[in-house]
Amino acid sequence: MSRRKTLHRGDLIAENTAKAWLSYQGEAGSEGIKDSYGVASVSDEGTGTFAITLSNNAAAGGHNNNNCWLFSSHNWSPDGLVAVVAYTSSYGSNNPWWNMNDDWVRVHVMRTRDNNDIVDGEWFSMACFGDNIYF
Amino acid sequence: MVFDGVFWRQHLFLKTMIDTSKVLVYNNEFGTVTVVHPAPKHEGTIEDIKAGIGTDRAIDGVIHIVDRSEVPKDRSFRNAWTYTP
Repeated sequence: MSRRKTLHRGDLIAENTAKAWLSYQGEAGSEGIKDSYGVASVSDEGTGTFAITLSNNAAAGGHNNNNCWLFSSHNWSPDGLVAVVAYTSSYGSNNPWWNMNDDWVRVHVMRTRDNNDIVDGEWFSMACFGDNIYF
Repeated sequence: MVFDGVFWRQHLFLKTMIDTSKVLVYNNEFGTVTVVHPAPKHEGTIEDIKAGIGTDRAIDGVIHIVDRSEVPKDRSFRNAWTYTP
């Protein structure tokens, strides 16, 4: 991606600031992006599986392995939380990317109900740090 | 007209918000469909997001732009979703 974000009043871009953050509600009926910064889209890939694509690369100079991705979750306590696992992926034998991608990440956030069905996690949030000061 | 804070944020600083009534849909590697929701604060277009994702994540290389209203509300059988244009 080459599109540079337009800065607005209140924006602060530096090496020591988060380049993107996200609050996403996954609970059926209320799902969707609640608020975000520097995020282009959230891909719903299946039950409890989401991919977050940033508006630009978080790391400068195409250094794909320099990102810091942080995730957390909120869960209704009677439901068991199965996992909150995030990873960057390589895709397809025709175009394998063996490095960490610097503009998107996938997260699994799932919980169980009394009947042991696995459903979407109730809520998750993300922050991404990188040294791209031209985000 | 009242020139309140919302007016100035929207007009003076010229933030262009994306149309969130559209989503991207494609068949994914998990055997179901991916629904891509644009972030409301993203400054760009759904076509920009489509180009940014590329075709690597779509197993058949095709990404469709559809109305968000076509996405089912019931997620009970989310992994069984399919999409036919």
